[in-house]
Amino acid sequence: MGKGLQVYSERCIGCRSCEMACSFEKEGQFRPSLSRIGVLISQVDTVCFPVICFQCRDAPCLEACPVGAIERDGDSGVVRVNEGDCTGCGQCVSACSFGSILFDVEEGKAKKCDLCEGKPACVEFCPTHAIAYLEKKKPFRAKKAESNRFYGMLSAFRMREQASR
Amino acid sequence: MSRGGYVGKMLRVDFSRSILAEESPDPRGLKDYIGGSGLGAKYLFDEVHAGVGPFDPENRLIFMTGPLTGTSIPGSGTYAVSTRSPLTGLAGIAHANGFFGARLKYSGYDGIVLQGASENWVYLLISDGKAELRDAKDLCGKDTWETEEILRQRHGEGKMDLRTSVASIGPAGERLVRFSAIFSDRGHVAASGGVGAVMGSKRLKAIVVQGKGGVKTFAEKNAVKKIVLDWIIEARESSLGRVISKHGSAGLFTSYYSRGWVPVKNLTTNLFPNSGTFDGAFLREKFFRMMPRSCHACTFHHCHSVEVLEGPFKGFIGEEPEYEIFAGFGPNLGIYDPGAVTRLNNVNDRLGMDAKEVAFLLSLVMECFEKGLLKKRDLDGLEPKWGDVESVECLMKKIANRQGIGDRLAEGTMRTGQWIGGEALNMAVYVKQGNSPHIHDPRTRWGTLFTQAISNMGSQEGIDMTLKFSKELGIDEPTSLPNEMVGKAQARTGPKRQFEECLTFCYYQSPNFTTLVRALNAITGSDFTIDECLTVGRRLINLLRVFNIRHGFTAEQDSFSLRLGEPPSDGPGKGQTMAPTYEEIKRCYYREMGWDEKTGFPLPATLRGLGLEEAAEELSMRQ
Repeated sequence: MGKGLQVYSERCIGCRSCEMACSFEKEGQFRPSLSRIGVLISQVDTVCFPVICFQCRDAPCLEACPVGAIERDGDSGVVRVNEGDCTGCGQCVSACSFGSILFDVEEGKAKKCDLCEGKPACVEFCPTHAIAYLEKKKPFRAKKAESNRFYGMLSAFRMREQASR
Repeated sequence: MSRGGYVGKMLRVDFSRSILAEESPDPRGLKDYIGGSGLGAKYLFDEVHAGVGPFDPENRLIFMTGPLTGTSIPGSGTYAVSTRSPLTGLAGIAHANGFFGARLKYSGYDGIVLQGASENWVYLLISDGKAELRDAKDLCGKDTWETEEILRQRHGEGKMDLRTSVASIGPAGERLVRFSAIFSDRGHVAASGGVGAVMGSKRLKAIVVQGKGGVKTFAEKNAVKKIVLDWIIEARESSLGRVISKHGSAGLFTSYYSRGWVPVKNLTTNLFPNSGTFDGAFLREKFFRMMPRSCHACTFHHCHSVEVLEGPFKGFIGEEPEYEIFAGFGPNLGIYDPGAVTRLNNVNDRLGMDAKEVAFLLSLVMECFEKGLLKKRDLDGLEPKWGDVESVECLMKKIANRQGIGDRLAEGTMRTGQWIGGEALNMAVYVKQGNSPHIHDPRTRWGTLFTQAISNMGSQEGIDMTLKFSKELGIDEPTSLPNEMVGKAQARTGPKRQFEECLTFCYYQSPNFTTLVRALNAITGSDFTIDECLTVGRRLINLLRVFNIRHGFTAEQDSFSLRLGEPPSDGPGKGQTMAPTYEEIKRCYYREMGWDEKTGFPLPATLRGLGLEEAAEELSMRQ
């Protein structure tokens, strides 16, 4: 198994440093709307939660892509969008329950977390170590997680956020 | 210039003519004043002419970010609000943290210049570069939290915090209470100078910002990243950062108390029982349940929502009060329950007032009541004894709504002292520009007292050096005595702090000066040296001074009320005072600044040396 992101939400303070770091690393500007990682913050009970891409073993985004622009890297397990092949149809965005695929409206392309080639910027800039980059014990399976109450909630919240983007 | 950091667009709204227009900031202005307080002051200087009153439509209200706003720099969600203050009649500049500043930039603008006055109540919606005025009739009378919640829901946030920020005024701002503030991101306040009252005079209830934009940098990725990481570490390891990052600003309480810097009962004493109940570590470990509510890119455990776990206010949920609030609504009012302070802080935030003015105003009322200068019949039947939480809450509501006695008190501490008459004015805590100072007992905290006595924007202009020194600013040892060194230290720290205020980031997140300059240069692509940065700060101070002179400022106002000059009667600072040496310190400060020693007016050569030709001309016309 390769390494992956692990979230410790109880440590998250909602500063959105990870969104800054991600968009700067990937797009060369501080622009949270183009960040691959997103922090959910609830106003009601001040709960905050970083939403990552789980690099699912049964990646629904990969399966949904009609042109095969999404591939899995054999060694690391990273699920990657080949932007050159992406037609911008948006199927992968709908397929992901966690809203982890970013759709760049200006470029008309899907974009997603690729773990920054093994040096995730979000981890580097998280001040409270709420996101860690660790050896994964077992692969994450989207289909299994969807039936889990917690991930179900996450999914519902994330849908809302996407609708507002 | 301006190859990175800035959006490059300003929004100007003229309410009287319902005109919303885009304009580009003047490149010379960006170079000379950078952003934040600096550009705000520049707009004031250029556009608010002599005779324009604080509540006149022609007064300006300027929301301004800086080139670092909205980046990874810790605490860079800050914005500055500048106006001619209804409290002092002089320049008033306030800063607020949170996310609003960053999101203003993402919405497509570096800043907003507001002028004119609307006929009906409106709010300003800025969404992805598009700005419009919307009807705000239904928001009138709503408090700042309700207003924010309604507007967030209406503009796509639901119960979440996603990408929208709201800056609003409460009932106090609507009714032109002279010390109303502007509130954003629930509990982050542009407090000083009555900026909220000016917003109210324009009938602007709120500003909503949201957008998908971003901030580009001049230097390449890795260079910027390296500087940001240096900044983060240096800020956390600074003397202030070490405390704030762990226990928030309440972490300062115990050490300040041990120096006699905590105001107790309107500065009539420096001692109170059980001061340990306000200890930062105790509060966070035992007294509160903590829920983090960080500002933009903050790396500290600072801002939190809290639930009170003990005492009569058990179960109450609000924002964790800052040190100054604990002091001001706590011992300063004879209240020794941090839970009660949490409650009062929340009430005051929702009503929309500056806590500094409210704290010293109500402590004045309580002392006057104790000494018989105010009777029950003067106070609508209230009997505000020290420690009476209910009376305090009731008075706050009366002030914000200008009901009964509240209508008088809504004019501020100094004017209330004048109205009560007799000894009351001597008891009032204010500086002579007309505002109450930050909530410390500054009588033996020399720099804190001095910097506010000579302030040009109604807040702390420089940095207190009573315990600190700074090799990089040429201050070799702490200014532990009230002598000329205090004036010298002010002349050196003032320009630095004011330069920082041009960049707009959280004061608690200050790194080394060199890192600050490296960050500015890397992000904007300019080549400032440390000296040039200090010149920016000095230019800003001088510009504000000439603006204030235009609006009637005289050197007599560079002073403080009688109470602030009285030596403490007990506690660690007993018997010490700055009053006898104050004039000497002030002259030294004027000399260091290149100002006339008697009038406190900048000398023509000083202004010309800073490139302030226009200001020099204005002053010479006057003399």
